[in-house]
Amino acid sequence: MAATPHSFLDLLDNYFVNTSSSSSQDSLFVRGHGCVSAAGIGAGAIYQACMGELELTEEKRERIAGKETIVSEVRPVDAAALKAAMPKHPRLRRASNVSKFAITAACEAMGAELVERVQNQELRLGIVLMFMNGCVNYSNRFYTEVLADPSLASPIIFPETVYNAPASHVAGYLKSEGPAYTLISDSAGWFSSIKIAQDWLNAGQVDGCLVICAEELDWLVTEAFSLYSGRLHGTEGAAAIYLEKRSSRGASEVEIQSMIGPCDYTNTAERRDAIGSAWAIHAVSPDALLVDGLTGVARIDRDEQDILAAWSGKRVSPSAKLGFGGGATCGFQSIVALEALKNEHDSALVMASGTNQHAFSAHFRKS
Amino acid sequence: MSSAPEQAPVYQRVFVTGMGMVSPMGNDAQAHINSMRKGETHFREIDFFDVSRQRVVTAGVADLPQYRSRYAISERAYNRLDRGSRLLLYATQKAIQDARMTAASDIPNNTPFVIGTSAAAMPLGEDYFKAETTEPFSRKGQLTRIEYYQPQKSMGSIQQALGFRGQTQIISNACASGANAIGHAFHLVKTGQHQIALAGGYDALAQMVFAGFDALQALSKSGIPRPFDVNRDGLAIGEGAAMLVLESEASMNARGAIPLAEICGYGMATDLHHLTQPHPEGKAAVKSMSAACQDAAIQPSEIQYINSHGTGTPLNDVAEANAICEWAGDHAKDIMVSSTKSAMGHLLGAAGAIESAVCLLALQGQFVPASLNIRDVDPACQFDLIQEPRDAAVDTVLTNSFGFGGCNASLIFRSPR
Repeated sequence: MAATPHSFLDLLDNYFVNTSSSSSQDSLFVRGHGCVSAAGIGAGAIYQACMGELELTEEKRERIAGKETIVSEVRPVDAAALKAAMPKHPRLRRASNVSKFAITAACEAMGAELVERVQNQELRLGIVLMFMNGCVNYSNRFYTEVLADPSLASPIIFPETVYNAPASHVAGYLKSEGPAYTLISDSAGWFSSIKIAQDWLNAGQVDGCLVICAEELDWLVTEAFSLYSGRLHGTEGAAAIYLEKRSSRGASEVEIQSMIGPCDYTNTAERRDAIGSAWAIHAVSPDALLVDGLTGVARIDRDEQDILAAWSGKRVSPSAKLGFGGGATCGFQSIVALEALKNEHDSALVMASGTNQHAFSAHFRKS
Repeated sequence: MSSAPEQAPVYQRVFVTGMGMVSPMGNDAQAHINSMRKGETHFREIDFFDVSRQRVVTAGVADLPQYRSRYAISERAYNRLDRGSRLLLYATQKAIQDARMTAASDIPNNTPFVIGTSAAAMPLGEDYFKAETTEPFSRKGQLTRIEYYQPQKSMGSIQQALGFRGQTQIISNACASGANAIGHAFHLVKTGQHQIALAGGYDALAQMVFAGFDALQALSKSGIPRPFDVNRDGLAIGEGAAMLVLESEASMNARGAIPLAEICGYGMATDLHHLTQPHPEGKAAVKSMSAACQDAAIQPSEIQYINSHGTGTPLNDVAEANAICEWAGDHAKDIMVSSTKSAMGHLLGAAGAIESAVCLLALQGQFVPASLNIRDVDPACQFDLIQEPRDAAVDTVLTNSFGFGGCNASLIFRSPR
């Protein structure tokens, strides 16, 4: 059955994950967040870029293909800044960029004190890491070696191509022996990951949970994006949030007040309906800041653009500023929402239309 | 905010009411039973990608089922799917059939479709790569490859083909993926979030992955793995898919479905020792098995059979053997253990799913499959290592899956009561 429009009450029955409510079973507090993006290292940088306070430069990357050169325009993470900010650990010496982004964002989200508590086994941590593409740099390099001469293909690179290598490195750095999942999904999988974290917290399996999304640039990815639109430019980085069920009662604490989703779809027509279902979130907070998923490419944005057209409140479109970050897209949106709550807003909505699987939406609010 | 006192969670029992499987052993349960009862191995030369320059040229190759006219997608749409997704589609259809379900009426919308895979649609990624590097300005077929390289797209096609709508979740925890997927789905039903879930795993042979294991020198040079033999020299890769229908007791009773087994425990832990090597004492494996027992509220002494991870690599098997002995204590000598990877190979992301299906067949048939090809048992094996298929009374069984990156998962099944 296609995803069909629902009344808001139907959606509450089917999807509503959480309210501020009297039951602590579903409470979900964001105790910290972190980000690595083309705007810089740290959650503040991506917010500044989205508010127009920081100029982002675009880089042209060339690939020689026979006698021709293929040019891709991208917004990458500053390698030198990343190196300076990244934690030092033997596991990370030859780890892929996507692992380095993930762990740097994770450390910012947790902060030094919580990192130490996990490392000292004083806090049971869960880790959910999601992406669409994963460790493409090393996959590209390793497969090139395999086709040239498999007997010379590097045994050091291969393990880093495995989807769950970044989650393993994050766990290794944090010395976390608890549950860890790597999810493959479209960009809205960020919220599916939060849902898993919530399940683990509700079951008492963990005291806190890190949710991370990350992507890295490679010509394999940017040329794939160009198949959808020549104007869809790629970006990279990671977003991370640290979640707990209990409030720290801190002044700047944020609660994930509600989520709607997953609104699943398997084709274009269903996608439109699914986005419509997820967009019912706007009713919970018409005064909120809307952080949408628009890329600035009309053909790709059409459904979301149409469905969100009536929104008259403030809105910001991180992907239009940064480029398309694959599986990191909704994580970036959420970081912008969380920074907005730190700065000038009390409430923010994140709209995740996804690309080929599901739509989600979430309401973040200062508690 | 105000907070009300938390209520103790109410859990529901979860049963397996259907299973489907495809592996080098065959394409249905009976083929697997026959093969395991005879103690056959299933390895042959790979003929659908170039292995001529590899150290090892054989693997556990599945017979890819053909397009079936009962699928509600066209043959053209079917052909867009990667090899692994086609295997999974077949296994899913068999599982739904085995559960005596009609996809459209018995599977509620939003039913979790939880899938484990390690390599996903890597063969399509390989084709995309080759086309981009050999004919970079020809876009023919490239968009389709990119779309279907993303496994969530193929999972949508499987749902369309079989006429149900589910919430796809794809867990990629390397070689533990299939077990994690089943365990995760189990908890979604156990906690009452859903009444039915479909869960399993798949992986097809892919050149890059095969070459990767060869580069690591993890493959047995002879092509015949010998898990728990003192002179074991590596694993054999295999391919396949398995799918289970998990159902709450209430749902099962309401449908009048017949339980194949109860799934009662799931444990997981992360091994921090190394990206590709387990801790020599199998510390995370002990935690994973203990967590599964705790989840099932049983003691290790209640387990009669373990379908081990048992890859046949020198480091894995000794770590797992040590872990089983520590976890089971004095009871270890009474536990029957075998590795069916010795017969079909290591199915990577599908391993935990197919080995769960093997456990269900053991419970149903009251027999235990063997670890084949053993000449001299590793002295670390202080348990009842099954070297010949054996009829045995089995009521409660455990399966282990361990993966790159330190992912450890254990599942416990028992005969329905």
